[in-house]
Amino acid sequence: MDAVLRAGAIYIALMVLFRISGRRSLGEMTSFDFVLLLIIGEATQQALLGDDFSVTNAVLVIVTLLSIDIGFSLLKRRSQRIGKLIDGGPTIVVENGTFLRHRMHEARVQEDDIMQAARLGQGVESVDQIKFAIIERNGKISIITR
Amino acid sequence: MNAHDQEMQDRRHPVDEDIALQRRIWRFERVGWYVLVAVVLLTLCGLFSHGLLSSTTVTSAQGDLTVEYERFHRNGGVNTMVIRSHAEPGKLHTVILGNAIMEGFSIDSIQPQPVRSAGTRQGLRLTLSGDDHGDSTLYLAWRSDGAGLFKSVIGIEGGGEVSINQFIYP
Repeated sequence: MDAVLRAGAIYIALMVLFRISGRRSLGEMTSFDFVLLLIIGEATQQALLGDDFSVTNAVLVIVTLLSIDIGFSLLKRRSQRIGKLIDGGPTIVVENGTFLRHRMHEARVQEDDIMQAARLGQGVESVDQIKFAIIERNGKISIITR
Repeated sequence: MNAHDQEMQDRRHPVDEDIALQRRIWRFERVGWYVLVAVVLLTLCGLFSHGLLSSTTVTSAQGDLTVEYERFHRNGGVNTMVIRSHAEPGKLHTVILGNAIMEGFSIDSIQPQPVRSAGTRQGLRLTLSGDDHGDSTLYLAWRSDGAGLFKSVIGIEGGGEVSINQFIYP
């Protein structure tokens, strides 16, 4: 029973925390983000396993985590609204060469982030050449040129 | 319709937006960040053990028993407790740890070793010998096993007692 409760609690806690951190809007992961993720993994490991380092416990924890994950993906398929709540939706931040600044402000995205994505992906020089810039669900900014 | 409202209209092309829901998510992120900071500050204050809110001292009405303990514990964690007791010089005295505390915690270490110890219906009885003034100090390390609120009583046989409330986080 312990293993399921621990895994469930950690899954929910991490989901809420990562939702709050809005980390996905950073898009590209820096090396420091990667280190941070490793540390978060270390911190959760003990809470997931407790004092029980048996193979059975490890398998039970993994099975629980996977079944919750699959459960959520099924739930997202059944209800679009729940899917949007969990993953968010795509948001347009540049429309026909104009920055939508109120949206950018709320999404904590700056002009530089958009222009960087435009240069990297499309070799775009100025915002006038962009038809749409969209913050995708995975946090990356996709660019559609005119 | 001003520019702000215009901007916050749902677009249908090239992606189908739900900007109202998205704004709620952004607001949640913003409020959540304040909640995270509050949790960090409360942790520094000792809401999750060790700190101003958690470390406390309680003394019996007669003044013969003082217990220093933590109000908040975390399951699996170890915390110390100091029990200072006073009795007639040269005589042995018995400190009784109530049942509730024994249910929520297990003793990791105890120093000095009591002269005698016995498990009874009231709880754990530890017989101690005091110094020349009749004072004795007992250092205990408790490992938190349970979860939830534990209301327990620690007393000296034939003397004062103190009640302590401890909360163990899962």
